[in-house]
Amino acid sequence: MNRRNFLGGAAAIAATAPASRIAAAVSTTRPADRCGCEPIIAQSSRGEQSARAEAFRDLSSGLKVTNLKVFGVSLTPDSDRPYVFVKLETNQGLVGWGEGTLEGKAQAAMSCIEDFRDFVVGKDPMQVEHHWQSMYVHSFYRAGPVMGSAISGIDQALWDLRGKALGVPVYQLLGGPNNQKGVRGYYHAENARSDEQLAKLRETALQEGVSCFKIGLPDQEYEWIETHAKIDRAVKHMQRIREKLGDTIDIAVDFHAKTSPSVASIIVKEVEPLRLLFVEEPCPPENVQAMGRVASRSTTPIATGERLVAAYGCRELIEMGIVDILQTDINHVGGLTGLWKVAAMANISNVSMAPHACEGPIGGLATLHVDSAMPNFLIQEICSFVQPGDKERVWAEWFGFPPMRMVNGRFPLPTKPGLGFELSEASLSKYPFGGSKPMARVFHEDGSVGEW
Amino acid sequence: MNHVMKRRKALVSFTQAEPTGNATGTQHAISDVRAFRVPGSDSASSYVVLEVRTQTGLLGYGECRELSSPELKATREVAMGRPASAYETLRPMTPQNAQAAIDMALLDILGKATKAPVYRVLGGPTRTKARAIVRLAGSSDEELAKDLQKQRAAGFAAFLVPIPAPAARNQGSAYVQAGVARFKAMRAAAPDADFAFECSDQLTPSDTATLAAAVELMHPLWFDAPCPVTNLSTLHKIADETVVPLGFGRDISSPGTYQDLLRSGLIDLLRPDLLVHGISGIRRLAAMAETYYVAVSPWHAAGPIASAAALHLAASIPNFFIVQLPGSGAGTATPQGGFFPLPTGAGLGVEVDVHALERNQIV
Repeated sequence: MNRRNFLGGAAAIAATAPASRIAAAVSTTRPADRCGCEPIIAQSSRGEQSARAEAFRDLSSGLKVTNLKVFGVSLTPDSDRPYVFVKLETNQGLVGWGEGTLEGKAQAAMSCIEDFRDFVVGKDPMQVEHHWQSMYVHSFYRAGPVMGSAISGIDQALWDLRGKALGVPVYQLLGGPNNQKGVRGYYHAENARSDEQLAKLRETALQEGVSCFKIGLPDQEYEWIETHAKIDRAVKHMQRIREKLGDTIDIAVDFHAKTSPSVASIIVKEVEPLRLLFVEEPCPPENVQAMGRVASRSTTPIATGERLVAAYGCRELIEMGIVDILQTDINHVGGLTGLWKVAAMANISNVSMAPHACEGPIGGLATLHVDSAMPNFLIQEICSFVQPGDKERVWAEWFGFPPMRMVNGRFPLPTKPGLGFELSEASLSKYPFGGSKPMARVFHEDGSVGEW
Repeated sequence: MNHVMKRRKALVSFTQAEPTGNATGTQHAISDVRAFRVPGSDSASSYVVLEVRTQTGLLGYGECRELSSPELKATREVAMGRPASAYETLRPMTPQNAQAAIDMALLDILGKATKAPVYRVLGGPTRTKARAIVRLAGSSDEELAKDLQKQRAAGFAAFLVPIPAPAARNQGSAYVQAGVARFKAMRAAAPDADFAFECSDQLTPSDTATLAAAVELMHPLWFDAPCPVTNLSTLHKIADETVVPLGFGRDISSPGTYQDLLRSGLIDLLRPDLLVHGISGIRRLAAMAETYYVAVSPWHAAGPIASAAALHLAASIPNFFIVQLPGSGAGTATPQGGFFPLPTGAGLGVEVDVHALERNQIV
């Protein structure tokens, strides 16, 4: 054991006590507030463990996180997805930004990021893989969406710092880029309803080089078993979009898990001749085999994964051959580290990646770096339309360039070190945190709870 | 006593509710259990009404298919002196035939004791009304179309259509054409209505797959009980070849069979009988089915008490789809715009005229 580590603080000093005195040492500090598992913990005392953490001192980069700040940013006071941004400050003046936006649960994600303060403050930010593992494993219960988003925010900020410290864009650290011109993307097209709007969309897309759009289902909610009228309407809706956009533009359809596997099986099979790029979330994500029912009954490619946390959350989908395209979300899966691991595992099974991005611009830019280093990358989402709106104007105002806007059908890669942008706290203060707001709540005709 | 018997006894004693003597609060101790046979036009439509009385003077009613004198006696022995609230605890201790009725009756009492509809006791309402389906009467396309108009006028929007009766196993082209023609006839008679094909276990798996594939693009709501649920591997023939939803359950009494069907991806709608599983039994099935994104469509062929129980069940679970209630007449809920309204009275909300039943008391 390195003797210098004993000087690391009170906890480290406790580690010098022989094993038999450890329990006594603990009891003098605080009343026991443990679960009754002292015998297990005593085998590897907390003091000794802190000393082991200090063992990295000799390997330190010299860069140290000195502060963690969390920002809730509501573009509109009633936004259901205030951006949750993380800022890490360091002893050398470098700052790292990350995003842990969790729709509908902003305050929970912000609190969870605060819970991780001790995991990063005082630590060497270069060790992102190590800190990620500690946040995930040492949280014991493993990660759901709240913890996944919190880890995502911190992970992105750590990657940003590492890129800046090493003086390169993050995609270089990941082994990219696949393509210097950037990352292929798609816009949403739910706002194009009429035949005229669809014709205009096709024209604009061809002019601007946009090669893919995503649409939704025509009805707001679907029952467990559905009627002829609603199934027919869904099929005809997709047929009409294909007819109006033509065969050269790819079409993806987001079922948004509104449908049960029973209803999805019917629609997905019937739209086979349309050769969609993919159908997204044909049913909710908890039961992988239930989604497998849909997947095995049609040639239409199945995409899912935006709600899944860490590579563990995607394992069953991949190994059972249920998913064709994974839509991992960098703001929930566990940041760049989580997204990269999902992509790596998916690639081994020849599953493609089409990452989800429906939150803020930091996660959007962060995902481009990982995309550009994935051998199995297909396409990148952004929840924007072909014409930029208010949200995109704010983003451009923050960054000084328009993030997540395609040029010739591709998102340009950031060129600056780290994630590739500068952001000032002052520019965020114009959009104060409006608190958590629930996401859409949809009910069936009989008032019962529906998926949306 | 052999090993198995010892284990079973241990399990029963583990679940046994204490007699109310030691308990606190108003326990509504069960003081009597009576049963009355309600004759039907045939053995399939006769049923039994069970009446549970408490020391506090509350009465609860339930229905079951059949109950013998020894079964009634055993039920009474289990129930006497125990708290009426213990519907989950007493159910496994009572004879199989009485379980659905004791479940409904105790929930009825619990609702009356708390002055709440049963769905409120159970954490509902989860919906404001219950989607309805009715079986069309008749054997020819013409008769069915005639009944269709009658039932549409009565407020139904979804209909169970019996398939043409197959003459033999493994039907050929003519039979499939007759099935397609029947579905088309129904659709033509009511283009905005929806239809499930009632097969009553009459088909083989391959016949089901063939007929279902032939009507797939017309979107039947589901194929009901296409064939008996036996070896699940044989049912894959249907689900592999067609996406028409499959409803099973009319002949399933074991909850484990539903679990096997769900795990194998062979069922799109659970069709449990209220008189086999009771409200509580179906709530457990629903809880399991929810994890497969599959809904429950309860049915029964008894009387107004079970019909009320079905509506309370529908309003107490999230994954209810549609309910099939028998017949029409006094005390029967009538649908509006394809939905049954929910009962509002305390308990099951059904007034039972015991005097009319007493002639057929089981002793």
